[in-house]
Amino acid sequence: MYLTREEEKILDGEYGYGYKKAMEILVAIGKIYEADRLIDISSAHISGVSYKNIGDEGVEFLKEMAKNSRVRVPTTINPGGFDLNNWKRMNIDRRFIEKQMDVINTFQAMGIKPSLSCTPYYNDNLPNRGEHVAWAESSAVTLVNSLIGAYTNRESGISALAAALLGKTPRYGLHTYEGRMPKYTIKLKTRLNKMSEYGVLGYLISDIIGNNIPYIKGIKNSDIDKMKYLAASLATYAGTPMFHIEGLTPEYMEYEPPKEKISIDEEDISKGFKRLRDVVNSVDMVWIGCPHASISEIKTISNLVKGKSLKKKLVVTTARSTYKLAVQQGFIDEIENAGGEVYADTCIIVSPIGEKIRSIMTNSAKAFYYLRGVNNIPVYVADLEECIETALTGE
Amino acid sequence: MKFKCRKINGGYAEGEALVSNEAISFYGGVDPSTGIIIEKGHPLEGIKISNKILIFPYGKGSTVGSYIILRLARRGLAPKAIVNLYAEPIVAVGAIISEIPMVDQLPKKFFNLVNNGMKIIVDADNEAVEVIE
Repeated sequence: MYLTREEEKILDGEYGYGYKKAMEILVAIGKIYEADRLIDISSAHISGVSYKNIGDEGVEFLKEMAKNSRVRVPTTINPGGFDLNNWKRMNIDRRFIEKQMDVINTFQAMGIKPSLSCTPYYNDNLPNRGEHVAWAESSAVTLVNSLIGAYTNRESGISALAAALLGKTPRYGLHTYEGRMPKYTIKLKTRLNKMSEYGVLGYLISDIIGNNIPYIKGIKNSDIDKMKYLAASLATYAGTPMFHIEGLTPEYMEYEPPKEKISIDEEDISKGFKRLRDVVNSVDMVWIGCPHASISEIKTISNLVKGKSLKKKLVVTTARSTYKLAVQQGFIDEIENAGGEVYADTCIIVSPIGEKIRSIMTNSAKAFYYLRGVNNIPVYVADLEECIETALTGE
Repeated sequence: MKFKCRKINGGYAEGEALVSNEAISFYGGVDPSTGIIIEKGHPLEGIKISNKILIFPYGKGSTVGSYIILRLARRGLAPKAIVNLYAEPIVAVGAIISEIPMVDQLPKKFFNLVNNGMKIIVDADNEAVEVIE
């Protein structure tokens, strides 16, 4: 991989340890994927923020990187282990709070915005079409590649941090025209209306095409929330970094629909739902917000529970920036008055509170995967309205 | 016998070979407090990778694996060097942040020849691996 004289100097350590390590990481990745050079990025998004996930060694590493280093591009971070303004109600122990704050402060010392959300594209960090970025958080990667038309590979927390410190990333894969080429045509033969159905669609497509890029036909109209659930499923179940949708996503016209075709119909979707439903005798918690709930999802929930009293524990997780909008609109009050709990900065999977829960009903196919894998509990996936109905009736 | 290779992370190490014909997932596959492979059904299940020249095709699994390598290194439980058929970013980043010499792209002949317990020299800076039988 070609390096400029300036980049060579960074690699030689002239600018200090953090930048040197960052350059070593980008050079190694560039070498592995045969990148020709480094290119400038306009933003970064970093995962590996919860102390629950990175542990003491992770904290130590971040601190070493942070010495005399600052990010060169606007950078946001994934959720941490609790709501910064509401940790008391979450019953988080003091030691965890100290460790988590240490992580967040270390990121802030590097000039990183403590957005603490897996949906930076809603408010905090929205790239433009055609911009090169370096993002971790697989669901956000797939969303911004596909729906926004920004260019990013699937970075890890560490490689995204390295890219943020240098404002650069190796040029290969999703940063090139060839790397965004679809491999399979998916013909959707049913009309999808609900957000959770898009999660199921992503789950089914993953099963068939692995981490290849699909070219989807048959989605007539959609919105960013539905696309969020599709992206999250594709990223979780197969590591798919991108999708094209005919007539909808910004780059579909640049590619021919691939010859290899697969159909998905109504029956497939209902079979998909069945595979995302464990036997749950009694729902312990209803959770909406994987990935973080949007303002319109919070509005929907607020309207459904307004003036009523919830019989089951309902938890909604969202970005701080979305939470603030929802406060202004009165949505948070309506949900909390009905007995629901809305948390910002965190989610059930990366927070220690998830460890105490025995079963969950959610509208997210991605949450199904991680709750079973990380928390080892039964999960039932249904649409948002059905989830809220269960929380209200207790059945 | 000396082989050419590609440097992923610099450094020099001498030690005993530990060879796996299957990929290794450090997150969930290696116990960070003991350095023992714990993945069920893995050919090296129950074997300690610490202070060996660890030779395997490539890494797999979650990117958190990079931190597991760091955790092993901080506790003195990491391999002395890593030799891959094809490097991928999880193990490569782990080796870089943990200062472990790492190389890849050795010829097939090397993998046919090498066996557990053989003495190996990894000279990553000079892109060479030597097998001393």
